[in-house]
Parts: sequence; structure tokens; C-alpha cells
Amino acid sequence: MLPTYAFEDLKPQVENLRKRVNQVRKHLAQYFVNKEDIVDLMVLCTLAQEPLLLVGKPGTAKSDLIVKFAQAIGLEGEEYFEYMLTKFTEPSEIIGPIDINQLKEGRYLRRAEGKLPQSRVAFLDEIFKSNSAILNTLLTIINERKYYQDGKPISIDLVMLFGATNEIPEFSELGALRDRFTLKVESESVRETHFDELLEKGLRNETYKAFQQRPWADLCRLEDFLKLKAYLDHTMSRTEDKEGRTDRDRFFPSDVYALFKRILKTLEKEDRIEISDRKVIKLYKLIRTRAFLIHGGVVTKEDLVLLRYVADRIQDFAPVREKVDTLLRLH
Amino acid sequence: MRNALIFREIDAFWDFIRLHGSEGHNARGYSLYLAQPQTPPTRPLLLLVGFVRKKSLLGKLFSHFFENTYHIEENQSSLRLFLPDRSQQDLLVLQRRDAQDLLSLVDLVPALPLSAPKEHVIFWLHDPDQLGPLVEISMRLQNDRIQYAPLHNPPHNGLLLRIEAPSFYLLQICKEQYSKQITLYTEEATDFFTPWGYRHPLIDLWRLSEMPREPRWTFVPQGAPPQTIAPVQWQDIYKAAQFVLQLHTEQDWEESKEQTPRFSLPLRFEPRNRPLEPEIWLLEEQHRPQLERQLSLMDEDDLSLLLINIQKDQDGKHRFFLREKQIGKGRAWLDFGGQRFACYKGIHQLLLPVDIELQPQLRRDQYTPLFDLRAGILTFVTLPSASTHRMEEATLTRIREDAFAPLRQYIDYLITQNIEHLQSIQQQSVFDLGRYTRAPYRPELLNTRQSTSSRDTHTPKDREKSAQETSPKETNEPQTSPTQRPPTPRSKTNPTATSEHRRSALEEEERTLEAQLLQDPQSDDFFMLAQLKQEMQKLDEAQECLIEALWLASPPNEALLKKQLQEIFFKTAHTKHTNVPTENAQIYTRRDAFLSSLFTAPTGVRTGWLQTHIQWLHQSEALLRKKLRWLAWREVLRCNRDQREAARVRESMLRELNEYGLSITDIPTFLQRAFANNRQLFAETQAEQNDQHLALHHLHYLRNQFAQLQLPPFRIVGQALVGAGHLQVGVLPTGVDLLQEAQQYAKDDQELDLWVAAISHSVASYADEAFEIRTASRLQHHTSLLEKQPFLKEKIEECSRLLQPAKEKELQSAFAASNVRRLYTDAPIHAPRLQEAFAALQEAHKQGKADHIEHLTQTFLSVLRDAIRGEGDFSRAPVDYNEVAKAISRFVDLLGKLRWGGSGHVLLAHFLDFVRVAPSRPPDESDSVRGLFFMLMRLHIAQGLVSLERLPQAIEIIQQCLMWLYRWIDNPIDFLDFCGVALQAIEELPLQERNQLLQSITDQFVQQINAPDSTMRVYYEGSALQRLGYLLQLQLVRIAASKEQLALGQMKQYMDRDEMALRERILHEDLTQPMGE
Repeated sequence: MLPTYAFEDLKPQVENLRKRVNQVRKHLAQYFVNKEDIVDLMVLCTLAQEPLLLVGKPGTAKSDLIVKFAQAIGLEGEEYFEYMLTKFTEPSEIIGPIDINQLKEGRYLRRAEGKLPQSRVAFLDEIFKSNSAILNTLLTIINERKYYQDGKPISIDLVMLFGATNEIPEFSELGALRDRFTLKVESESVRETHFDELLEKGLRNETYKAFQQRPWADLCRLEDFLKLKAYLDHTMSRTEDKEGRTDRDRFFPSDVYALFKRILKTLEKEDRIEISDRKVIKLYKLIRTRAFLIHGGVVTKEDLVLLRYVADRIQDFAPVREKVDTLLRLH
Repeated sequence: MRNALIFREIDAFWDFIRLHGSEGHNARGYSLYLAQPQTPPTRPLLLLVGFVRKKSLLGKLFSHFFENTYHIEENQSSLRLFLPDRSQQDLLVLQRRDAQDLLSLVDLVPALPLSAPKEHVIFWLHDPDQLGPLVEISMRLQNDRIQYAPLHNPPHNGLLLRIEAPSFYLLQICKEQYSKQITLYTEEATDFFTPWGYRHPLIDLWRLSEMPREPRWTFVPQGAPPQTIAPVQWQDIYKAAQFVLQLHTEQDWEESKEQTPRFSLPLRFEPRNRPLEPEIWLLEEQHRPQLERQLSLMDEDDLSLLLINIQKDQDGKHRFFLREKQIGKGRAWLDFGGQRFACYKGIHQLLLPVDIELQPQLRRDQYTPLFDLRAGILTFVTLPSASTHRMEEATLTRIREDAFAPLRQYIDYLITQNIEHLQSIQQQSVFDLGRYTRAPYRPELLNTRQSTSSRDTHTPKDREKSAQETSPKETNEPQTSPTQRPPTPRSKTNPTATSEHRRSALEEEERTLEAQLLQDPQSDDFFMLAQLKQEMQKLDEAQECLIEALWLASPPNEALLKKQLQEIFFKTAHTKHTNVPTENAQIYTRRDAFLSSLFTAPTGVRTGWLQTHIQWLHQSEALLRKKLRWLAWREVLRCNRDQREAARVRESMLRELNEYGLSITDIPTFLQRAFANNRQLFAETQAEQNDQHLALHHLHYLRNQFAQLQLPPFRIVGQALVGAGHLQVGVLPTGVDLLQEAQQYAKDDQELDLWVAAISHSVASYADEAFEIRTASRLQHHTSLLEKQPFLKEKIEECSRLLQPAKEKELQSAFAASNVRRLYTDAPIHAPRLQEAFAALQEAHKQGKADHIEHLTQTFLSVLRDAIRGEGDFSRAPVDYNEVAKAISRFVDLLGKLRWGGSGHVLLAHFLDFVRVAPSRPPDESDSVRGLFFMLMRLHIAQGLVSLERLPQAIEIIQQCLMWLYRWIDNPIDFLDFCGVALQAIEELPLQERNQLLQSITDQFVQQINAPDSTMRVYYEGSALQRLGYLLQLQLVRIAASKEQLALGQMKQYMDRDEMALRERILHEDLTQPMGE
């Protein structure tokens, strides 16, 4: 069960918490080449508790980013669950095997120790290669943070789910899972553009590994994220302040809000990017969260940079990124 | 006091305008009031003032509108309504709109969902200062396709800006931030602009009324009266904009004045990782036993699929090039050993060993000069051994592409059994074994096909019957020459057989041979048919057959055929031409005499003979068919070797071909007649009976479906059309009954009656023509038709009485007319890039530049591909599917000819590749109008594939299009238009392929008519669309039972092949080259 925090208790800690979380953002990026954007998104999505999909060819540091991030926020043991999915992966490998003793007594229960339901952060590699049984389980876990034991829904404490994939299939049956990942970011090869830097940092990381050093570890705790999230939820849940202004009035200036709407519509109409109603709400929350994390409050035009990652298909990634940049530069 | 029409619902007002059509125009203007009754207060009403009731509108369709006509008195803000009971009612005016035409009174409706425009948007800038910021934003969004036009005439001050496919973002900014200064318009119909995000609910009426409108642009703002302006002259924005480029330093480079250095790069052979599939094999003498062993395992029929070219070196050593006749589908994938060759990089004239390639890779066109590739010549790069890959050891071998002969001609089957024993069997046999008497020697001429044909055309049963008619003595006579052909069953007369039976058998054989020739014209088949026709005393037709046979013959056979031709011309010159007028008879007699003399084999130099014939040819060449003209000149020019005359003949014939193409009169008369007969459904052969059954099955289906139509006019016209269909198929009782019944139903409605009468009239005329009966069996077939003749004659007279001259013309033209037809494929291509690429290809075809054609075809197809996808040169504007459809139609027409040329199969393959990768769905499915144009374009591709005999692909495309139609089209005009084009494509398919497609369209049509939605019905009731609906029914019946288009397609195909052969002969044959050289 996730802890609950009172708004008044959190208020004095907020700046420190922000600083610590931002430290992860800035510090972790140093161990990678040209992955600042991805690290930012990992931190941001963990704060907002929105799943993030990393897309990229093999060897583009997807897994390494997530593993180091988990270490950076001090996750240990069962708190972090990692699994590579294939079409033969069974649900028991993810959510635990059936408890035979319980089954003899007529109860269909799973032993979830060490599996995804017990973890706080999970990483599923090749997520789209799984079969439909896993996909259905994942949909419920991502959306409702629940899974079923003996037909009864059981809440889980999963804070963050990272997915990684080489390709995003366009089958319609995967549409629901695709849509659950509000943001999708491509981890590109940097060999062409940053060869020297890649070699230098890569070798350094190898050295750390050889000597079993983790200078990026324990930069903050997962609880810091949870507390910040709780604070933000409190803020956003307050319908009106003393002057009768809503959260949007206070934190989302009308010109930036109009720009947000305009860009979304343009992407939808010109680039055929499908943005569901659910995604719009989540985007709003993510933008608001980014503003809070990076500069402490009011949303600015720069926060709309998150719209670069709304594309669903790999071939749309680059055009959407360019389009959003162009539109943001217009203002 | 004025008259006002009152509408209680907006839908009723729209229906009124829709029914009235687009012609409502009043110079004094209409006023439309939205007014609310005061006592008691009820819902607001619409009142139309200024409408004049015309006589033409007195029909029942309008009667219920005119029932609501009242007198009103107009004041400033109120109206006084005078009711029939002489009471008055005051109405408060809520809104008033004035306009000079009815359509302008209709309110716009929001077009949702909004989509990014693919075409231009007009920005009406009320404040010209907005130009700068707007242009800057557009350019930063990478769109500089901007034009502008200042407006000077008050009150239309401001500036018009036209941006092609502007960014959705820009439109949003204008709408959100500059809504007062800038109005955005899209062109909804030609010269008709509505605000972006809105549409006119009756835009279909605007479309229909596009043509007669004066050239003015109408802008219909939302909630304001329309404005019209004269069309403006657009200017490029770069003329109005000034761009500044500030650079720190400039450095000039000069072109080098020295001799440009050349770089020599040697090409080398490198082994391929995976060898290509061999297309041609080169076998040396030592491979011969192996080859013979391989061939001995093959059936004789399979040998017809193999071609061979035999070469001999100075020492008399042979080597053989072998290939399969078919290289694509249907190929046997044999392997003969020896050296294997395949086309290099798709250049079919260049063949390299399958396991090597050239490095470095060059652009394809670079190989032509490098290897000196020439049209019609295959160039082989041969290596001394398979292990050698050294360029220095390679040799080039060139052979003519058409030098491959059927392998069967070179096969001698040996019988190694006891020949005497066989002879005794032969003598006792009731079968015709005469042609085997000289085995193992191959008969000299034409006998491969001859024997095949006679085998094919006679079943064992027939042979047995024929054998009974044949005396053993005759069968034992040895075969000597083609003129003394081995006696065929046909020529062995049985004195006991009746002459009718014999004639019928000859006719049967004639028909079979003619049908065979329509599919695949071959010299020996024409030769056989000539003999048959001579036997049937059809000398003119026999003459035509011999000309065709000579045209197609290989050089060794020419002498024999010329002798035959000379004899037959001699015979016809001495026969009175009875079927032509007297003055022409003399001309024909003289012509035949000259031609008889012309084809006499010349011996030595005969100056007088030459002069006479040259003079006669100069005078009469225009009277000769093109092939005969060419052959005749060849006879003369081979003797005098006059190069200048040869060039003149070549140029004049080529000019004629380029300007007019091949004329129908250039193909033999009996083939013209055969094509004409194919257009009709006669149940004489098994295949024709099958067709008739299919047609009846289709008609039965249509009859049931049409009977379900809930709108009586469509039901009645449908019934009449199905009746007409039955008559055309020859099922008279049903046809006549249906027509009579339809006429009975239609008699209360004057216009409907005329329609049914017109249908009866056209069928009756057809039936009248059908009495020209060729054979006795056909006569029997039409006995029932003759019985019904009085009714049909009566019908013609009745129709003539009914149809007023003007009305008849209108109905006839309506019947002949096609549908709305959005894509005008007959018009010339306008898009410069497409036009340029196609013109280059066409010119190369005309000039006979065979080596350029493949390259130009690929260029054209790549331009076409760009055009469809809106890429490359076409990325700056929305895709113009009309242009693409035009280009496809033109190209397919040309490809129909080119595919019979040397590289035809390659060109066809390129086109099929293009079709395979062309997008099959519209890029933007939510834009139904553009989607419609896209799908119409796809249907043109399907039509092209049908004409190129690629039926499965064509049917698949049509099916895809129909699926799309049912999902996206909800507008009757679009539906009718789309189905019209689809049906045109289906009409060219064989009857057995049409069933599913026909049912699919019919079902949809019935659903449209029976739609419960009243708005849809209004379209089909009493509006101009009703007639289009009838036309669709007519097309459906045609699809059900007509072979017209199918036969026309076959005829076109035959003529295309003939034209291509003629063109290649004109371009490549040396007229002056003596025979045998």
C-alpha cells in the first residue's frame, strides 16, 4: 500500500524534494551520450507515474538507462522487476505462478513474490512481443494498478512501468497497449555524431562495472518521487484558490494553453497522429508536472516540448519532433 | 402586397431548392425571412418572397409547396400575413436575407471534423498590413506556395492571398487571432467559395450548375450575403516580398579554364553471392547429347514453349542459344546446362552469365553506350570457361532478338521399329496416317501447326467419321509440298454425304479457325483458312487470308505463298465482282490483274514490268490495305533497289500510322465480321451457350432486385430494361411480356411512359437488325423472334408516334450519355511533368526508338508514381487525380500497342510493378471528395489492366474500390458517378467474371433507393438525378447481358498487335533487300 502524505507536511519539504529529483535528472545523464531528453522523460514519467516506452534498435542503451535509473533512485531486490518478453512468455513469469497448495483447496491464487505485482518499478523489454494473455494483464496493471487473484482485484504498488521495444507493431489489437504509453521516446544511435564521446563514456562505464562501482546510485529515493507526486496531486485537486481561479488559470497561462491546443490539433490533422481523449488528459498532467519539476510552477512554452513524444509510430517520431520544434519556434 | 412561400422546417426549404434545381435566379432578388408569429407565439417560420411560379413547376412534386403560398405585407421589422380565411397574422422578423439566386439563401453548415486542407485556401485580408506576418508564418512553416491579388474595387477592398495546402496551424492562428481581419475560404465547387470549416448543404446543386455560370467568383460568408468578384489575376508572392541576405564575406570561385580532366575507371567482373535465375542458355556442340537426352523426356506439346537460335563458326562448329518462350508466369523453369545467362540490371538486351556482375555499378543508361546495345539485338557477354572472371577474356556475341525459332522445327523424331510392319498397319488403318509416311523427315512448311490444328479441331469421333469418308488410296499418297497438302478430312469428299451436311461442317471449321485467328494470328492458320475459303468459293476472303499469311510468313515460305496469291488474284481478276457497283468492279478487276502479275516470281530484269507496276502502285496505293501496300512495294523494290522510293514508302506509311493509326478496314473483312458477331449473344457453340446462361442468370437476378425498388419509376424502368435485356439475349417471350407489362404500368405517367417507349424502341430497332441471319442454325434460333416480329414492328411504330422529335432526341442522348464523369480521361494531359514524360515516350514509339522505350517507360512510371503520392515535383500541390487518371489512360492505350513489340513483356512487367506498389487507399480517408477522386483513378487503373488482359489484378482493384465505396460514399451523385465508372471497367470483363461485382453494385443501388432517410430519397425523386439512376440501371442490364465492350476490347487488342507489327516492319525491314538475303 502506498503511503499517504498530508499537504501541510509536504509543503516545507517540496523544494528539497525537487532539488533531489532534479539531481537524478542532471547527474544520471552524465553517464550517457546525448540521452538527456530520455533521462528527463524517465524522471518526469516516474514522478507523474505514467508508463514510458523506449523505442530503439538493439544496442542503443535502452536497458542500461532504465537499470541505472532504478539504481539511481535506490531500488533494491523485489522493488525492481525486469523481464524480457517473448511470445512464449506466460503470465506466471510476470505475475507469479499458481499456488498449488491453494489450488488444492480450490483457490486460484498466484505467488507474486519477486514478480511484477510486488515491485515498485518494472521494466518489460520487448513488450510488444508478448502474447495476448500478458497484454490483457498488463492493460489492467497499467491502467488500474490492479491484477486478479482468484477472481478478485488486488491493488498493486507499482509506481512506474518502463517498456522497451525495437519496433512498434501496427496491429490493431495492440492499439490499447500503445495508447497506454502516453509518451514514446526513441533512443537513437549516437555513433555517427558523437563517436569519441561514446567511446570515452562507454569505456568508463565498463570500468565502473569491472570494479563494481555505481557512482550514480542512490541519488535520491523513490519516496521522494511519491511525496512530490502527492504534493502535486494536492495542488491540482484544489478546484479554486481564494480568487476563484482554477488550477489551469493559475498554472497554465492562456496563451500557452492556446498554443498547446493548436499544436495538438495540427499534429492530429496534418500528421495523422492519433491522440485519444485519455491521452489529452495525461498530456496536460505531464506538462503540468514538468513545469513543476523543472521550474517550480507555471507552465511555459518550453514545457510543451513534451508534445514531441506523442507519436505512436516509429516513422512519425522524427517528423513530429521537427514539427513541434518548428511550431514552438514560431512564438 | 407580395406572395410568399411558407416553410415550417428548414428541411422543407432545402427540399424545395433541391427539387427546383440550381436555376432559381431573380434579377429583382429573393428575400428569405425568419419570422415568428406573435399571436399565439409559435415556432419561427421561413418565408420566401420573390419566387415566381412557372408553368414547368406545376407538377405534383411542387404542388404541396405551393399550397403554402400566402399574401404578405412587408414592413421594417414585421410582416403581415393574410390567411385564406381573410384573417391576418403579424409576424416578428428575426432575420432577413436577400439574394439574387435561391442557392445563396441557404445557410452554411459546419463541416466536421475539420481536416487539413489539401488544396488551396483563400485568405481574404480586409487589412493588407496582415500580409507580412501571415506570409512570414507560412514560410517558416515551409510553405511558400503563396500567391496574392490586391482588390481595389470598393467595397471589396483588401487583398486576396492564395496558399496551397496551408498548414492547419496557420489556419488556426488566423481563426483564433485574426478572425476580424482575415476570412478564410475554401473552394467548395468551381468558383464557389465557402468559409473554411463550413460547407454549403446543397453543394451538389452548385456542382451540377457549374458549367453555365458566368465567370465570377462567389464568396459565401457565414451569416452574411454572398459577394461576387471577377476572377483575379494571381501573382507570385516573391514579386511582392523582398528578402535580404546578409553575409560577412563572400568568396568567388571561378570555373577552371583548363581542359576538364577525364577519369578512366575500368569495369571488372565479380562473382555474385547468389546467381540469378537463368533466362537464356548457351550450349556448345559437346552439350548436344545431353540436350537431346533432356528433350527426349519432353512431350511434343511442351517443345512449343522452347525457342532456339543456332549459330555456326568458320569451322562449321555449332552452338545453340536456348530460351523459354514465356519468361514470366507459365514458365517451366527448365535448366539445360551449358552457360546460363540473365538480363543484367533489367536491361533485356544485355545478358551476362548468371553468376557474375559488373563492378562498380553504374546508372542503367550508362551500359547502352558501353556495350553498344542496339534495339532488337541481344548482346551476350560470354566467357571461355565458368571459372574465368577476367574481363579481358570475355567476348561479346550479338544475335537478333527475333532470330529465335521454335525448337519444335528442329526436332526429328525417329522411329527405330520395323518400318514395314508399320506400313502394313498404316495401310490397314482407318485413320489418316499419311503425313507420317515420310518420317523421319520433317515436312517442309507450316506443318507443325497444321498438324496440331487438325488434331485440335477434330475429336477422335470426328476423325473416325472422316476416315470412313476417305478411301485408303488417297491416304497413302505421299506428301510433296504445301500446295499439295496432305489430304485432310475436309478435302476428302464422300460422294454419299449430303451437300448441306458438308457445308455445315466447313462452316464449323471455318468458324473455329477464325476464332483461333482472333486470339493468335499465325501464318499457317491463315494459309489453312485460305484453302478452306477457296473450297467454299469465298475467293475475296481467301485472298485476304493469303495476304495475311504472306505478311506473317518466314522467308522460306514466301515463294510458295506468293504463288498461291498470284493464282488467286488471277482467278478473281477473271471473276466478275458482283457485290460492288459496276464502276468499282472495273477498278477491282484491274487491281487484281496487276497484283496477280506483281506476285509472279520475277526472273531476270524486266524493265517494262517494273515501269508498269511502279506507275500503277503510285496511282493506286491508297486503295490497298497497308499490309498489301507494303508487300506490293517490296516486290517492286526488291527488283530495282530504289532506296529513295523505299524511303518515300516508309515515310508515307509511317506518317499515316502516326496520324491516324491502323484503320478498321486494314484488317480482313471476315475478321471484322467475326468481331462484330462476337458482340452478340448467339447460343451456337458451347461457350456461347454458357454465356447465354450466365446472361440469363444475371438478368433473373436483376429482375428480382429491381422488383424490390420502392420508388415506382425505377421499378418500372428497371423492368423494361430487364425485358429489353431478355430480348437481346434472344429469350423473347419473357422479354416481350416484361416490356408490355412495364408499358402498362407507365401509361399514367407521361415522362415514364416516354422512357419505357424509348427502351422498347431501341430494342425493337436492335431486334430488327438481328434478322440479318448468317446461318441456317441461327435462323432456327430466331424462329420465335420472327413469330413476335409483328409486335416489335408495332412497337416501333407506336414509339415513333409517341416520341416528339425534340423529346426523342433528348431521351436518346440521355440514353447515350454517360454519368457525371468527374475524371475526363479523354482530355489532353496538362500537368507539365507528366505531359513531358509521356510525350517523350510517345515520340520514341513513333520514331521506333526501341532502345529508348524501356527507359522512357520507367521514367514515365516514376513520374506517375510521384504524381499519385504527391512526391518529388508534385509535392508542392495537392495530387490532381484527374491528371493521373488521364495519364494512366493514355499510357495504357500506348502500352496496348507497345506490349506487342520486342520489349513488350518488360514494359508490361514495369506497369504491373507500378500497379503493385501504387497506393491502394486514399491518403486521407476522412476527405471523402478527394477519396472519391482517388478511387475513380484506381478504377481507371483497373480498366487499364482489363485491357491488358490482367483480369485477376483488375478484379481485385475493382473489389477494393467497391468496398471503399460502401464505407465512405453517402452522396447519391458520387455513388452514381462512381458506379458508372466501375461498371465501365466491369463491362470489359468476360461474363463469368461479372457476377459478384454486378450483384454488389445492384444491392447497394437498391439500398440507396430504399433508404429510409427521406433526404436521400429526395435526390432520386423528381430531380435530375432520377435520370442518372435510370442510366445506372441501363448500365447494370448491359453488364448482365452484353458482350459489346468485351468484343471491342478484343478487336482493339488485335488491331494494336497488328499496328505494332506493321510499325516494326516499316521501321526495320529493308524493302530493297532481295529475297533470301
